[in-house]
Amino acid sequence: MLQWRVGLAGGLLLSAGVLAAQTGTSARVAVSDPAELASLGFPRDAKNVFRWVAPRVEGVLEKAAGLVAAPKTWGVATGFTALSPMDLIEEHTSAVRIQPERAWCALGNGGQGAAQEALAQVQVPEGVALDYLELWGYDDEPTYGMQATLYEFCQSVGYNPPTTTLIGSIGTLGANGYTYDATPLFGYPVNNRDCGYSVRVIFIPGDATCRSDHIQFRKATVLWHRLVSPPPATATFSDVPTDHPFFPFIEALAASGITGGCGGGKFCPDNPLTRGQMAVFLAKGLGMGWQ
Amino acid sequence: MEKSGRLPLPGMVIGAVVGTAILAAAAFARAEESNGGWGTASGGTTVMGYQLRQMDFGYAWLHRTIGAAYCGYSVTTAEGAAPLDLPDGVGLQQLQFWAYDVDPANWLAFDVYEDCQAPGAGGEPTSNLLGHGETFGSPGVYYGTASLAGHTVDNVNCHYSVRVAFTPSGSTCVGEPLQVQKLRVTWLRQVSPAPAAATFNDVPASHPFFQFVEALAKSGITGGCGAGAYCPDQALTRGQMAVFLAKGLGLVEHP
Repeated sequence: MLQWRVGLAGGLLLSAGVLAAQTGTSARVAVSDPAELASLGFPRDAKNVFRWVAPRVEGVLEKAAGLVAAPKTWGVATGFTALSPMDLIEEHTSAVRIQPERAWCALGNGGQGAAQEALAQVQVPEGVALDYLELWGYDDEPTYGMQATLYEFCQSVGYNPPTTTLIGSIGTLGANGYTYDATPLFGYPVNNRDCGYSVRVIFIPGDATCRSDHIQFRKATVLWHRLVSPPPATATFSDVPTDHPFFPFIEALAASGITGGCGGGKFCPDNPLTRGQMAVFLAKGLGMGWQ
Repeated sequence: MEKSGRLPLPGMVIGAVVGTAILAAAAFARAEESNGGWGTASGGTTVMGYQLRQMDFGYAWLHRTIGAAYCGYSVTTAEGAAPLDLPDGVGLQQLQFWAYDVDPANWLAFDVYEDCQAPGAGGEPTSNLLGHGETFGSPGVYYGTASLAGHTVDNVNCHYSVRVAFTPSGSTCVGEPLQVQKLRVTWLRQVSPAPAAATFNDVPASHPFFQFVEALAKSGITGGCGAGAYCPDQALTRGQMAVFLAKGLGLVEHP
């Protein structure tokens, strides 16, 4: 176990043991096959590249038994939000140097050995479920490290006390060179009405100052998939009762203002659709505008 | 209570030590009550306080953390700004802001701006103030709103930003008397108004679906059914629906 002790602005001490506790239920698998490394965008002889084998959480993550690296994503049903070094904003008086392809820490106001912090806002679509947080970096000193942590910060409409939740965290513990890692987020639901989402990157020097570029942030992504909202308790249309197989989907269209039904309090789910009706559904659903 | 937005770290890490195993259960209990944003027709753009950049000031008076951007040192009114990334064509509803203002003599002012320059046009850009809110006279935690009057977003010609002015009452901002915690701009999607002339001979301007069929045509999602017609009353096959959906949603595979 590395003797990491991370001094944060809040006076907090975080040890490597905490990181291990967070990730103890998952398994990390080293990637060493040159062809696979190349397909992930690493040099063919790169070391310290890991794939995350996530634990199975019933009903949440159908693909959890597989490997997370380079998941297949299609269009809008699944997707990812990528963060580049340019998205980082220095926290407090931290000293973080930023270029388009990498961010690294320099000696800051904290002085010798102080951790440096930066934040990036993650813009994810409303209502999606979060799947993974991925981190690409460079860390060539075993006593140095970098940690990326995804937070949710919520305040509901009207003034209410804010709450902050740690959704997931990855570190570059023990890395020696280019590093990739991912952590599962267990389908955590996004609530954009009340909350904002942030990745905090902490650059942690060992016993030296945060000099040179021994720890670099390269990229982070948040993977997600869309959900249809849970249906209401009572049905909107008399011919689509709560036990109808399409009930949640038709209720979602009604609540979104995309359909008002076919008149008389009905939706007519078995009627054929004309091309004209399809145009109304699509144009309203996509909010189509042109200049 | 007054510092709860500023230094959330210890509580967060205690939550992490408890472990991720309980996260899934907690998350799904909350999904039931999170139905504020249905689908894509309505929505909003959130800006965390720390996204504010300093404006027009030579050294670091604006400090940032997850829960807030706060006034670290300033002798007079100082400004921060952040870009607003809004979908094209939406109607802007409201600016919502969560803030902290401990002294009735301090205040924070929030302005939403639209700055426009048409492609190829030289000269001065136009700048429109779309909405204004402030915390003046409300010591302590604060939630406020400002109407944006349904203004339609034009991403072809304009960009959007929110500006925040920090005005401390004393000589400096010592003690963080002013904090911006979070901002949100809410909006509704709209279908563009119909053009004057019809694209298809069987969907004239008087047709009840005219506006919607024109929207699909202008967006390149349909070219009609041939010979300048759209065939609005023809039944849709499942195959045609697949084409409409895949084109409309821009479905792309990342293998």
